[in-house]
Amino acid sequence: MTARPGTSATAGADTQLPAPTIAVDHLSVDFLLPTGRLRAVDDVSFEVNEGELFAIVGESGCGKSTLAAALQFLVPSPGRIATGDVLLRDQSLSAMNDEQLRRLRAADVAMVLQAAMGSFNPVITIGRQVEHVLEAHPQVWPSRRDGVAYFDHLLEIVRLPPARTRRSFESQLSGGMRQRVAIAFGLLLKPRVVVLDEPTTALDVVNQGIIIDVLLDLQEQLGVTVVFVTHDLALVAELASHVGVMYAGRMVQVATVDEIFYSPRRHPYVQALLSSIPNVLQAGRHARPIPGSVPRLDQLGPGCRFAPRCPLVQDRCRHSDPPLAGDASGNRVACHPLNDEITAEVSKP
Amino acid sequence: MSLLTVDGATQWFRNQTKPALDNVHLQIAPGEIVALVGESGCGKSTLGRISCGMLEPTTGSVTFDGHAVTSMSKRELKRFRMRAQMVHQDPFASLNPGLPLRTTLGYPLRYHRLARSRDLQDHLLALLESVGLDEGPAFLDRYPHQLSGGQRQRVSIARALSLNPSLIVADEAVSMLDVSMRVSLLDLMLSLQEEHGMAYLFVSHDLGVVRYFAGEGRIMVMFYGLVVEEGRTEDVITNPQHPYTTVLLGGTPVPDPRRARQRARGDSLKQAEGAASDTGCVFYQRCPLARQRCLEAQPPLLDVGSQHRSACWFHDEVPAHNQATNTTIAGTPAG
Repeated sequence: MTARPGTSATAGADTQLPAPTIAVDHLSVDFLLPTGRLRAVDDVSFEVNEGELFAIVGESGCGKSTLAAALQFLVPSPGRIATGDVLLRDQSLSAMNDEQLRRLRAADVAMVLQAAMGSFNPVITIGRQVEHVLEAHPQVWPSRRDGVAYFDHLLEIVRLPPARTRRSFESQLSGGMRQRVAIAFGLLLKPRVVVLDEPTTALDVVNQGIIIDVLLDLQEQLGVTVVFVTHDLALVAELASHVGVMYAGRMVQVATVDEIFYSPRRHPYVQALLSSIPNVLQAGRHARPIPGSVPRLDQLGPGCRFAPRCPLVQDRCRHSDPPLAGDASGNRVACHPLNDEITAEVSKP
Repeated sequence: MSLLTVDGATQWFRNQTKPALDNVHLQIAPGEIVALVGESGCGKSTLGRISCGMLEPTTGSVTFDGHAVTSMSKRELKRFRMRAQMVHQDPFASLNPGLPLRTTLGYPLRYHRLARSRDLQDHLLALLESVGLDEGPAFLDRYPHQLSGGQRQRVSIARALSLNPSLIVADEAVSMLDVSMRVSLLDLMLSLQEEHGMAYLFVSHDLGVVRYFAGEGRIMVMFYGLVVEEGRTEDVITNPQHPYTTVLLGGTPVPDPRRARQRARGDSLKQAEGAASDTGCVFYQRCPLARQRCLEAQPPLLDVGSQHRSACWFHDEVPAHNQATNTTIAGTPAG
């Protein structure tokens, strides 16, 4: 048994000393549609420190994939970053020109898409595609041979036979293998951060387990910071050290994985999500669906977006949107009743 | 009498050196829930397609309601296909993007003469209401791209339900949905069963979902075309009798980080890599219990308990799945 990375960071909350690897600062992303402006990500702030495995969790349409794309300053049209900034080790992405951003996307913050389909060129081998990447970014690997050797090393970490994999075409790989090759590709240019969008969706349980192990190994051996997007809290429990939970474009809780799963001070939405998981360790009809449905982004009221479905709802929740407030241990929650608890606790001693 | 019997089904696909299904037996009683579990490529979807008449096995027989499918007349075959319906995995691909819901849902009803044109709309609205989509007549003019994933899968269930089937084959019916949507769909399917009494053949790789949905039913665990264990759901999950079942159970993620941290890493790969063995037990290459005897021949499915069968010589050495669970997870209310 091996200790999981990130668990040491879980114990101590004073992570103030070094600059965070990624800091998202009051970021909002708008989609400009013929029918009007939709704010898919609304005033989101959080930090990811070096070596963390940070999970962005939420349901379809909550803005989590848009947020992941914004970490590269690469929001698909008709979206645009409306306000805020992303800082990579204190470098502001909004101040970068296109060429700087292009390098950043390749070599600093890499993105691994939902890889099962469409990430590769189907008519040339994986090896040729590696060479194309190396040709386009000679600043990272001046010697192409070194680059290929590093790719082989990465393939070994993701448990694929290097030579045979490089000779393969996409169609010759299974879904799970494809995802692992995509992860190796993402790490080829030695990024500091790798962002994965739904890394295990569409894979079966056995392949999911492999991806989890592989990502933990990569994090440990290469020290890369991992940000991943998922809707599955069971995956979060297996993989994450820190978690940001999104609901209808807002970040409603940012906390360590243990606080999300074990602390009573979790956002009512997180509680509802946890209660909705069919757990293999429990018999009977134990899971409960979340009542109601996710609000449409073009029909948001002034209050908390979870209020219509919330068991703790109070009058003020319908009028004012709660801010993310932090308690002593760094757990931050956007919920009026919980924030009161935190304020009372802070003012007590 | 069983509703569906698949007897000794073997399925060969072109250019394959091993059959996708190898002499598989399956019985489903009226109103029963049977779950097929296993990893991608184990043959569970093939068996599902055979069970609802979408595929005819290379050898072996399929009997529905006492009639052999191969000797059915055209009329009987039409009736079989009406009474055995399928819900597919991907609600994007299984609904025609060019047709409004009115057409998608109306066509089977008209074809089987279950509704006349003039009361079709009322029929469709009642149908949508029964799957939790009571949104009024305008909803019928929507196209699939205008619906959310959960709504689409409800429409797929409505389509299957519309012909009053006695068997619904649900092939990974909730695996494309958000986790938060899954339970409401599973609850819907279970409440429809209470109301209409149909049987389900539920294909899934997720044992958490299977235990929830088929808690009262049975599980069949498949590996490379063979059934390696079958039994009542609770028996199989709490007292697995085949090493492959423990691999699946151990790999199922649980919402409990402390437990996850205790999991030995690297096991997933040892146990997942390696194809089916060509000689002896199909699971030999991946099996932690493998020994000489396993190389001789594929062990048959033998009784190991009440309604519980396993294809492993050493089934009594299979470790019990650790059921210890942290009750703080789902047990405590918020705040």
